[in-house]
Amino acid sequence: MRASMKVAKLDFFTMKSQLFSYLSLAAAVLMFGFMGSSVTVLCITGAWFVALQASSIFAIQEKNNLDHLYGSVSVGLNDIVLGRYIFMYVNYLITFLAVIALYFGFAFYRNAAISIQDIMFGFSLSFLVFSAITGIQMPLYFKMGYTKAKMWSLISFVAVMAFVLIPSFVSALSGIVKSLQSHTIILTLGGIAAGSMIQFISYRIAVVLYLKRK
Amino acid sequence: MTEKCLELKGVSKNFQGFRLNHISFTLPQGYIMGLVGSNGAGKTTTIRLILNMLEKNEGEILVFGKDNVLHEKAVKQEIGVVFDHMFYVDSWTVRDTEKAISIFYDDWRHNTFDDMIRRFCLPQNKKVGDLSRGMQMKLMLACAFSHNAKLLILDEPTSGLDPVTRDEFLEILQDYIKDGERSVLFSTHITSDLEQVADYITFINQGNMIFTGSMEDLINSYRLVKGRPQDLTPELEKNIAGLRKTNMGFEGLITANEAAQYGHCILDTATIDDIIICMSKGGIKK
Repeated sequence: MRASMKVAKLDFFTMKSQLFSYLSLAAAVLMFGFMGSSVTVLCITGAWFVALQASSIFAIQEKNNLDHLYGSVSVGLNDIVLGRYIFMYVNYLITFLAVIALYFGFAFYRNAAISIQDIMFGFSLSFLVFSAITGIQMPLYFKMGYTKAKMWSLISFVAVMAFVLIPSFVSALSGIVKSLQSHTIILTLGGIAAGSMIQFISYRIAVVLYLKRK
Repeated sequence: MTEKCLELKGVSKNFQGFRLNHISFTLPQGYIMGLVGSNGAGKTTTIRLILNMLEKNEGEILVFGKDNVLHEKAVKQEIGVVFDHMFYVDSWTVRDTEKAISIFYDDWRHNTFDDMIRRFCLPQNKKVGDLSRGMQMKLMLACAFSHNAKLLILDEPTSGLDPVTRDEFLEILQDYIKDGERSVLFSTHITSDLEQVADYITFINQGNMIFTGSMEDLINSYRLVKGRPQDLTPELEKNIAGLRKTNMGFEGLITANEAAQYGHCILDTATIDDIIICMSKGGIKK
């Protein structure tokens, strides 16, 4: 675990030059906030943008031959994979906290009420979206590298979009969704559990695929 | 007895269309070993196997007596690596590079790194991508030296360097092993570098190990044979590696054991280049 934390730290060093992209992301979330979107929408937007940024670290890894760096320092391949997952998760968490800070700021500015339940629901759904997208993307990038995987990784975005849109077109499913929405706590806990499960399975697959590259 | 710094025992790796075949050699502590062979011979594969960047199919690799897979993290604390191309992020500055790399080593010495970048005249705030090839190589060396690596593994570090920088680099290597506790495995196809610094040579050709031993033994094991066309009989021709025949005569490589049969020809000492070139063309198996 210590070695994985070191790899996550290395990933932050690696992405230092991408700080501008992250500030753009913050600006985009800010824009949604100004438009008066709900905290859930803000959280999902944040998660979506973090997932979009996931490919950047793999692009930099490939461009700078970082596999050679990983091969030379005192870490194992599974530490590299776990470190990358920790890095992505911390990115998501920072974004979520930034969104919540904005939400509090806007609520204070507009004298609006703050709903902890909405925040929890926003966390749950955004974590599920983040986990679903990165959960598909990460093993692909570990298996194929950035250049070969970048087209395939779009599948994850299409899959999540389809998952969100299908209930709108299938009346039977939209009924289930409405019924679930009335049980916010179950939906919140279910989202966190499903997201965690996806992340865990994705990590295990990524380790196996990355080890196979040897 | 001299400690073994690195030991490969019957290491093999299969790829589609290429096999690294039962490579065995020992690098004693305090010496420089040159890993030589033509392009595609298996030098980089051997290095990647030592670093566990590739999974071997057979054999055993011991670094300071420890298995390189079972004790990977401990072993890598003791190894410094320089590849033929940069493997740090090009947007890092020299100072950022230290911050990023130092987190992985228990024995990182900030003062050593500072001394190195002063000695190598590396500008602290210059980005890695803006450094010249020679400067990049020096930065990799500075990082390798700063965690007190006992074994330096260099994969074609001098390719693309100008003669002055190459010479400076070789001096640094000689300085590095001076205390008798550090060793260097140095893969290259620029054999003049090895003639200057290497104590031992391991020669790989098309995935097979041709020779491992001291530099003197390698040079003494082969002879360059030259003669007139009429000096060459079919029987003698069979033992010559890399035979080149012209209307004026012939030239090739033979083992020193067979030199007596060629007494009527001209026999010269072979250089490492002669040995690599002739062996790569085929003929002598061992």
